[in-house]
Amino acid sequence: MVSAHAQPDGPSVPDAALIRESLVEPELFATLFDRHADEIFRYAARRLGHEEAEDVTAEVFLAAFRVRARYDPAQPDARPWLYGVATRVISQHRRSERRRTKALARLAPDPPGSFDERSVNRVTAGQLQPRLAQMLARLSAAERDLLLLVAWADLSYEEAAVALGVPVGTVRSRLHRTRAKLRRALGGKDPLILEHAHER
Amino acid sequence: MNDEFDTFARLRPAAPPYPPRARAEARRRLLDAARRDSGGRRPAWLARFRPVTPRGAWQAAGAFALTAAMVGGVTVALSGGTGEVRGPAVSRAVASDPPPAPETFPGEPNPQPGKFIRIDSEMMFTSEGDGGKWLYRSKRAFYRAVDGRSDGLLWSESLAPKAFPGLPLPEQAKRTPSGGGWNEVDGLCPGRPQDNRRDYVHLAGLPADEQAMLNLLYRHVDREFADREAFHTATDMLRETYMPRAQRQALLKAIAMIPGVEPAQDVADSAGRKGAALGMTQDGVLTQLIYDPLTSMFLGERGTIVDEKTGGGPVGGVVALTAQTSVTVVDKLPEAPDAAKDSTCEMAAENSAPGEATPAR
Repeated sequence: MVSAHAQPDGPSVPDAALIRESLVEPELFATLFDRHADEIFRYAARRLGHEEAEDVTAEVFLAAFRVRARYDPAQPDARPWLYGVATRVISQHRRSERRRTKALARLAPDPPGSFDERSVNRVTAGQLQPRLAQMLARLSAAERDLLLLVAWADLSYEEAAVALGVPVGTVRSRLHRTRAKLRRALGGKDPLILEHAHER
Repeated sequence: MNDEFDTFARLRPAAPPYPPRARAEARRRLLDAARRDSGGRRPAWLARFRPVTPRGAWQAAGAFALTAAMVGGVTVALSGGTGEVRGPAVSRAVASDPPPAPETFPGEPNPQPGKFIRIDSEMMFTSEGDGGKWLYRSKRAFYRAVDGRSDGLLWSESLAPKAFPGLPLPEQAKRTPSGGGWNEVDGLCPGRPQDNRRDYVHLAGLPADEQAMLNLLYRHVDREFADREAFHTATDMLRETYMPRAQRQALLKAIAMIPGVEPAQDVADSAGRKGAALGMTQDGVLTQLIYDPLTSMFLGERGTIVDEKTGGGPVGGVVALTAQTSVTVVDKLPEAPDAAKDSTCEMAAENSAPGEATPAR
């Protein structure tokens, strides 16, 4: 690991060092926010819309701050870890907000497994091409989280494994399965072409 | 990637920039948490430290280096990792049942600001989904601050569903998750209309005169559906609320004055208690608000199909039934670390000045 003493003036003080130091001086964690908040916000905004992304981003950094003692010091870049926290917060945010709204409205809660699909349709319908939104909705929550970390957050397979806390072998097999599902859904065609044809 | 995944990468939705105000607020919350974690101590040297925007990341590194230099002898062992480390407090969310209801207040409760009113109910309302229709049943405990200023809580627990009259129980109803969960209910916040307040202090300030109360019920109605909207508003004011006897009586008298409202006697609520009722028929269903004629306390609701065609089921079929089983005053909220978050006030704050939540206009 590179210490702050070794690079006292450069921008490359690793996130891991900052996190470790924040255990002693908690306010230093704000620097991690300054470095990565915009990126986490963009990811959350793509998945949930910008209004909910504001709440989610704030919660991600608070949650990360609370569990920072568990950060793996062997990972100098905190982005994969933050994306992992974001993935959990996004999932919880959807479930809890919908559960609360339904309870207040005195409506029956969603049956298990039904919420995420509807949520994806609702959230992405306005942003993503309908056919892609439908395909996304066919994936399991785990498959969807992984696909979007790779496709929208540009994480490598190794980084996605860190984010989701699974072995990189699991990432590869899950992506293989996801790719097969998408290929079947696309019928070997580029959905961009399908969408444009549909629009015409 | 260079395959199917490329499609998703190419079509990733555009993301707006992080709004500066929301960014600053999130950062402030983080720093607040950090300061609490450090016990509120802020070393003098840290007063000069300003974590910076990404554009000035080198400054952050410089500040960090300063930190290391200033406290290095005590805490910093960046490459060795043997400095004193305080672990963060991590709470685990565990769903827990609400505490047993305290003994019901004898006579008229006199709730004081700073306390909470707990209202226990059992409810059955029509739910729809995936083409099916059924009766969703739940047991609830609603905690609301007496003055509405602090946040409240709602425990909602699903009970076994029932079939809608004349229809089979749909698959979706059978898959309704059992058990319950806590939900946050935000207190007063900017942007929330004053008329929507349901806390005791607000309700106690409503008119004790039925004509003035009636005017209140019609304040924001759509002209075309004025009477049914006034009835809905009145219903909402009675559900899971508590107000002084004078306001209860004024409200009930006002409801009786709404055109189309019919009184009835000996109408049973979900707990089997019989009371007087004021009812209105809408869309083939007679909705009756049941109350104790002696105390004017709200007991519950009953919805009965009175027209097969518009009501969607056989005449006499019960499609809603509730009972407000207890109203108690408690000193504090139960612990509910897993409560589903209510972001109403956070969203509303976007359109108003920061600071203490104030009653809305």
